[in-house]
Amino acid sequence: MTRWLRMIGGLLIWAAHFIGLYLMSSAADVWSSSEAAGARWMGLVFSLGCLLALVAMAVWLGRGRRGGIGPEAWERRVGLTSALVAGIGVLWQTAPLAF
Amino acid sequence: MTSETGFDVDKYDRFPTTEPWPEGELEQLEQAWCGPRSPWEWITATNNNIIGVYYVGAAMLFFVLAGVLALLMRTQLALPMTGFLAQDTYNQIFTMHGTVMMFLFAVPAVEALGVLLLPQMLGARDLPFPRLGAYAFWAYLIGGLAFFCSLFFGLAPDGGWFMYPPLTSMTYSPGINADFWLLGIGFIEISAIAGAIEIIVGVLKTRAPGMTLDKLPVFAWAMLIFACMIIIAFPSIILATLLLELERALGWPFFDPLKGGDPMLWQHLFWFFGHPEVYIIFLPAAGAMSTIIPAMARTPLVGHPLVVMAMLATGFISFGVWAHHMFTTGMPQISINYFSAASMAVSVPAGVQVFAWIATIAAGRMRFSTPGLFAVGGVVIFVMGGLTGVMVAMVPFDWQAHDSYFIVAHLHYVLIGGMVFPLFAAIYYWLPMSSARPLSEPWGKWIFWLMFAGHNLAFMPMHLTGLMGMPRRVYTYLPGRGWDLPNFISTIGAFMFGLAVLLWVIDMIRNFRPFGPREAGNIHAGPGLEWLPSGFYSVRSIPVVKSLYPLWDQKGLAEDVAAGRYFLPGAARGERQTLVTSPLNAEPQYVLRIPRPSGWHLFGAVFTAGFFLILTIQAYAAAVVSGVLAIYCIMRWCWFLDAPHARKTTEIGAGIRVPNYVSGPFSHGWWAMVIVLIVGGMVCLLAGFSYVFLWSRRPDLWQAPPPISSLLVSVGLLAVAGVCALAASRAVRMARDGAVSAATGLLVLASAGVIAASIVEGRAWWKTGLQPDVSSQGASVYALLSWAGTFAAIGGLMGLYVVLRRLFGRLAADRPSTVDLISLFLAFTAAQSIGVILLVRLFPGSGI
Repeated sequence: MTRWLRMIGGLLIWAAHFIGLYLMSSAADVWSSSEAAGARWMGLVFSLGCLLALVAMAVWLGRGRRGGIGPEAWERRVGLTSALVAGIGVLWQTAPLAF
Repeated sequence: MTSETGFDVDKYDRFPTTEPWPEGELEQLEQAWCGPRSPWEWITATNNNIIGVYYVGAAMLFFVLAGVLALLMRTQLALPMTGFLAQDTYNQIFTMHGTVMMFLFAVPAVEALGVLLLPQMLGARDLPFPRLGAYAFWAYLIGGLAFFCSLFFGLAPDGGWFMYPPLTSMTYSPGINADFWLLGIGFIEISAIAGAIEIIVGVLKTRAPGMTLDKLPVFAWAMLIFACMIIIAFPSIILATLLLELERALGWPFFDPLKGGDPMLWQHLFWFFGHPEVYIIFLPAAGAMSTIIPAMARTPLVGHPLVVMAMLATGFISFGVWAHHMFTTGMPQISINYFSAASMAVSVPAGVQVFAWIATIAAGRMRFSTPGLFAVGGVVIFVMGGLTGVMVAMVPFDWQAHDSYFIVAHLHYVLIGGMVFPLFAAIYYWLPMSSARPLSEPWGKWIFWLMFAGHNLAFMPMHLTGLMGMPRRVYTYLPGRGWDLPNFISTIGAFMFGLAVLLWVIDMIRNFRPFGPREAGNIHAGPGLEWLPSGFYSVRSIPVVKSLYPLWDQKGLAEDVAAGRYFLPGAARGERQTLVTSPLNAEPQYVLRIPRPSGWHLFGAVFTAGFFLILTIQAYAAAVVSGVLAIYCIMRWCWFLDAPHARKTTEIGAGIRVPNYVSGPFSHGWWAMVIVLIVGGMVCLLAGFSYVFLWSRRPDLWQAPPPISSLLVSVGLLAVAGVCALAASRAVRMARDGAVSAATGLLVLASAGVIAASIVEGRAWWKTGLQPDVSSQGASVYALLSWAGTFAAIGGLMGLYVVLRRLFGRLAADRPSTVDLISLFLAFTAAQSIGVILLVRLFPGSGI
C-alpha cells in the first residue's frame, strides 16, 4: 500500500482538493452564496492545506531518492512528477477563489 | 529490491534452465489448450485468443454500422432542405450513431484489444476469469445487435446520446424508444464492468515473474487505469439509467421539478460518467500509441515514467471535469470556475504524452509503414482536437460554441484522433501477431490517406459552420446562411472516410480467409512479450522479465521460451494453468487452474441480455423468467468453482514449487469480489449524492423520518449480520469438526439479518405515508432502500447457495474461498445498508 501511495499520493491530494472545493462551494450555495467572503476564505485555507500536504509528500518522496535504481526508484519518480502535476492543478483551481 | 512476498528473487537466476524436460511435455500443453473442434466449441470457447478476436470483430462491426448511420446523416445534410430522411428518423439515427459509437464500439473495442493482447503481453496463459470475459462478450454482442435492430422497427431511442430529461421523460417521449436506451445499455454496463474486473485482476496478478511496475508494458498500464476508471465512472450511468427508468415506468419523480425533482441531477450523473468516458476511450489508445511508436521508431519511449504519470494524472483529473458540459445551465459561478480550471489542467498530462511521442519519433528512426502512419496521423488529429478542447474549457467561449457544430467538430477530432486512428494503428501493428498474417501494406497506405483526408474534409468545415451558428442535431437547414458549402464539403469528406473503411473491411476479410500461409512472425521487430512464438496456450513457458523491452534487451529470450526453459512449461495433470504473481513485484505466488469451456456462461449471457431487452417491451413476466434463468446459469457456472486439487503444490520450473490454492487477499477471486463491491459502493455513494442534491433543490418538501425505535432495530439487525458474516470467515478456518457447518450457519444468519433489516426499514418508511411517486424525497429514499434491498436479496441467494454447497459436500475447511467471498459480500451489504439507513434517517434532520 505504501508503494501505491507513493505513486499516486499527490493525485489523491489533488482529488481531495477538488472534491473539497466543490463540496464547500455547493454547501455555501445552499446556506448563503458560494461567492460569499467566508466561503472563499475557507476554500483558500483548505487549498493552502492541500498545497502543504503536497510539499510534505514531495519531501517524503525526495528523501530516499539518492542513488536509487530499480522499481522503487522508478515508482518514486512517478510519484514526484504526479505531485508536481497535482500541485499545478491545485494552484490553478485555487486561482478562481482569489479573484 | 525488497521482496513483496518473501520469494527469493535470486531464484530467477536459475532460468533459463538447462536440464532436459520430460518427453511429451509440449504435446500435453497443446492438448490441454487445444482449440475448438466443433461449431459448439467455437461458440462456447473462452480462450482469450478466440474471444479477443470475436470481441474486436464485434466492436468493428458496430463501428461500421454506426458509420453507415453517419453517412445517412451526412447525405441528409449535404444540401439545405433535403427530404432524404424524415425528421423522426433523423432523430433516431443521430441518437443511435452517438450511442452505438460510444457504448457499442469505443469502450468495447479498447476492452477487446485488452482481452486479446494482455495475456500474451504479460506472459500469462490467459486472463484469470476467461468465462467472465466470454460472458461479457456474448452479453454485449447479443444485446448490442438486438438494441441496434430497434432502428428497423422505428423504436430506436431519439433523445440524443445523452438522453437529457425532460425531453426523455414520459411527457415528451411517451413511446418505448427511450426505454430501449435506458434498459438496452444495461447489459453493456454489466459487460464493461465484467471486462474491467478481468483486466484489473489480470494486469495486477498474472504478470510474468520479474515484471515489476517499471517493466509493465505501457499498454498494460493504460488498460489498468482504464479498467479502474470504468469501475469508478460506470456506476454513475448505472444509477442514472435506473433512476430515469424508475421515473418513466413507476412515476418516481427524480427529474420532475413539480414534485421536487431536478433535471440537472441527470446531467450531473450522466457527465460524471460521460466525461471520464472520453478518457476511458483515450487512455488505452494512448497506451497503444506509446507501444507502437517506440517499436516503429526502433527506440525506447522517451520519458517512460512521465508517460505513466501522465496516464495516472489523466485518470484522476478526468473525474473533475464533468460539469464543463454544463457551463450554460446556470451553475454557481465559482463552481463553473473550478471545472473550467480542471478542464484546462487535464491538458497538461495529455500534453506530456503527446510530447513524449513526438520526442520518441524524433529520437528514433521512424518507419512510416501503415501502423506508423496511423500513429502519427492520430497525434496530429488529436492535437487539433485538444486545442479546441482548451478553447471550449474557457467559459465565455463555451457559451458561444455550446451545442453548435463547433462542438461536433471538436469531439470528433478528439475521439477519432485519440481513439480511432490509434485503434487502426493497433490493428495494423498487432494483426500479424493475432492472425499470423499482416494486412496489405499498399492498401493500408491508401486507407490511411483516404481516412486522414476524409476526416479533415468532414470535420474541419464543421468548426466554421458551428461558429456561423449552425446548431447540432438539426435535421435540415435553410439555404442562404453560408452553411451550404461547408456542409457539402463535410459530406464529401464523410464518404471518403467511409470508402477507407470499406477498403479496410475487404482487406480484413482477405486476411481472415481460412487458407494460405500464416507465418508473419514479428514483422515489426516489436519488443514486447506478445511477439514471442505462441499458441492457444499463449507462451510455451512464462519468462523471467528483466526489461521494459524484453525482446530487445534479453538476448535469446524467444528461443529459450519456445524451448520451455522458463516457468510452467507444461500442463501438469492435463490442466489449464497460469501463474499468479504479486501485484507490485510480480513474484510467483500460486498456480491458478483455469476452467475449461462450458455452456453456462453463454446461456447466462443470453438470458442477461434477454432480461433487459424483454423488460424494454414491457413483457414483465417473460423478463422475470429470463432474469431467473440468467441467475440459475450463473450459479451453475459458479458451482464448479473452488473445486479440490489433486495435489497441494506444483513445480513451476527449476525446482521451485508454489501452492495450487490460496485464499483471502492473496487470491484472484478476493480481488474480483472487492472490485464488484467497489462498483456497488460507488452506485450507493452517488445515490446518496442524489438524495442530498434533491433535498438541496426543495428542502420544503422533505418530511420527518420514521420513529427512532425502528432505526435501532434495523441497525441492530445489520450489525449482527455483519458480525456473523465476518465470523464465518474465521469459523471456516478453525481446525475442528463442525467448522464448515458453523461457517454455513453464520452465513445463513447474516443473509437472514440483512433481509430482515431491509424489510423492517421499508415498512417503517411506508408507515410514515411517504410514497415514492409523490415527492423527490420519497423517490430518493425508496431508491436508496431498494439498492440496499437488492444487495440483501443477492445476499439471500448467496445464503441459499452456501447451504446447497454444504449439502452437496462442496465446502471444505481447506478451501475457504467460497465462504470468504460470501462473507465479504454480506459484511459489505450490512455496512452499506447501515450507511443508507443513517443517511435517510439523520439527514437533513432526525425528526426526533
